[in-house]
Amino acid sequence: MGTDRGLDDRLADLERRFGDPHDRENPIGYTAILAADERAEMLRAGEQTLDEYGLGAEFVPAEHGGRLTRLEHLVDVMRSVYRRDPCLGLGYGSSSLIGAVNVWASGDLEQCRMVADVLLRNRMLACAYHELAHGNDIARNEFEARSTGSGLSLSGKKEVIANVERAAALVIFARTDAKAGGRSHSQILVDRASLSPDSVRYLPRFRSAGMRGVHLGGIEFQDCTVPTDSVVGFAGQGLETALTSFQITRTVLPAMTVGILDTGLRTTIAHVTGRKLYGGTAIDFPYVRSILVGAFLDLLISDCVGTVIARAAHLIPAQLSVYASAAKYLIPKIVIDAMDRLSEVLGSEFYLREGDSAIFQKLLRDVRPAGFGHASGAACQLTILPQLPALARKSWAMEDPVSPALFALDHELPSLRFDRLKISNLGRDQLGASLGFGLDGESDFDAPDREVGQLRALFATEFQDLGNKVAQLSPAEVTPDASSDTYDLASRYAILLAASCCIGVWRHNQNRSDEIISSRSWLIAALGRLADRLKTSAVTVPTQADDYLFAEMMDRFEGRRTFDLAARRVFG
Amino acid sequence: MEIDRDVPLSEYGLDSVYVLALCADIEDHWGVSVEPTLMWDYPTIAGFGNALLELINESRPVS
Repeated sequence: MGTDRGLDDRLADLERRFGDPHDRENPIGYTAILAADERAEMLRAGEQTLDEYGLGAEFVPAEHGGRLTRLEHLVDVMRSVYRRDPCLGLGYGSSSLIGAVNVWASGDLEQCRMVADVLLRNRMLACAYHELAHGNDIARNEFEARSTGSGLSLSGKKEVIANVERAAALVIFARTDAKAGGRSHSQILVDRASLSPDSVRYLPRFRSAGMRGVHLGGIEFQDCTVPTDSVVGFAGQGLETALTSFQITRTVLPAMTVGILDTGLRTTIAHVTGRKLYGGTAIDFPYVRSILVGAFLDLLISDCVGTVIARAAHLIPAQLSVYASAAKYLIPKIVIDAMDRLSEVLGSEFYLREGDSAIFQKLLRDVRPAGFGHASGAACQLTILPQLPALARKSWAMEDPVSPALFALDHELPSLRFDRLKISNLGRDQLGASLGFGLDGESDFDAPDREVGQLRALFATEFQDLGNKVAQLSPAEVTPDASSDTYDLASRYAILLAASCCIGVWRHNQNRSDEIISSRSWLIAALGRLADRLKTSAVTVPTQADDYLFAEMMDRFEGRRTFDLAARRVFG
Repeated sequence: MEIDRDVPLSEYGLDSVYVLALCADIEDHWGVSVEPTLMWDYPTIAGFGNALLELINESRPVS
């Protein structure tokens, strides 16, 4: 069982294996990572270390012999990898996870065993969905799996697929019925070595601006016969499997990329503390401080959102559809914006591919795919948008309170059940609705606080306003043809959900009095930051909160602890 | 436009993901909870109507 104790040991073990990132002789230090990036190769020593650690087991549910019991733990482990080298995170880790969740959700026992076996032996899984012509519009994918009586005949092309030439097994999204509609596709799970070489061709590698080490390839099948039982679930279940199982990856992948911002912030602080300008040290300039504190806040907000939504997957899985899309939409946006602002503080240093801060330019490139890879922001808005009218009408004003376990970090959670995920929320949204609780004069807070109260009221009013707007939308207005103003409603919703996450985490972790997230300074600053994103109010972070957060950030920097909720010890 | 009861709605341009929006309206109107996948399983008006009718009848208390 993956207890917290087990997690701490695993994280310490991983960190020890990674060693000091600043040691130039360390084969998994920044010098080696940057050299591999220059060659557009995966860091071989890093992959070996992750083999020895057994990273693949983190993606395998405990019932199939792995270590996956809690999504937050998976995020914690992967965040360590992303902090070190995002290429290892994606190219060695997440891309296998994306394929595996399809099978955990809909595969039979035999298929689950096969995938577990691949991952437990530290081999890879490639998830072959993407066709350049269709992007995120997977319902129009053309790759075909035709029934021939004796098996399935695969024909078509999949492009920009991570590890397609290195993986032991492939999960292919294929059309199994020529008709349009939601029951025309299936995932096909195949052992790559079993494919007849005459009927498979690999396309040249796609070179990329960031994540340069990750092997992005393509594969073309021509009348390649595979056994009929390669179909994952029933024939035609594919779209449903994608829309449910990817809720898990849409939840955890953005939360992992918070690790990129952690290293970005650490690198920037290190630079500005040593930088003398105009007779002072750069870190003493108010402008520099406010950018740094802002990035620290953004990181904590992203972690709050990622953590609460990862907990929602366990606690209220039938409502994960909109939450996972909101996480996938918002967290990368926050993280990328924060990295961009940090690059301004680094000045010309962020542009250099050598020197003490050289890892930053790589991170700045590596973070971009978080915004468009595995469902673009717009695709996520399109999952949220059609559901908003029902959420507003049926849930926001009348929902049952959600269990405090959603926010209380020490609280146990029910185990993860892929079979409880649903393709839509069916009008339920307990996380969003909790933003409205405690209004109308009634206060359900233990310690009423005027400033906190005012901010909460601001968000609750925004939420009501959003409710009024979306309730009027007709089904025809919540489709891909929606106007940009309508798309914007989905963004506003995601920001309001983030506020709900931050308030919930603050409120339900007051027992952790030594920690920043139980402080009112943090909450006020975080809500101010989110209010800025809504662009509706002039809430600014009070200066004293700035000082408090700055001190906490520097304490973590000097104490070599992570900037997220867990504030764990790291190696440098 | 005339909608043929036996032609899949997707042929009229109803995207398979639009069903996320429609199910809540159906529930508001008929008072039954409908899984969006029902519309994928019964893609024509005739088929979906029958499946919906069955759900509505099931949800009515037997008098």
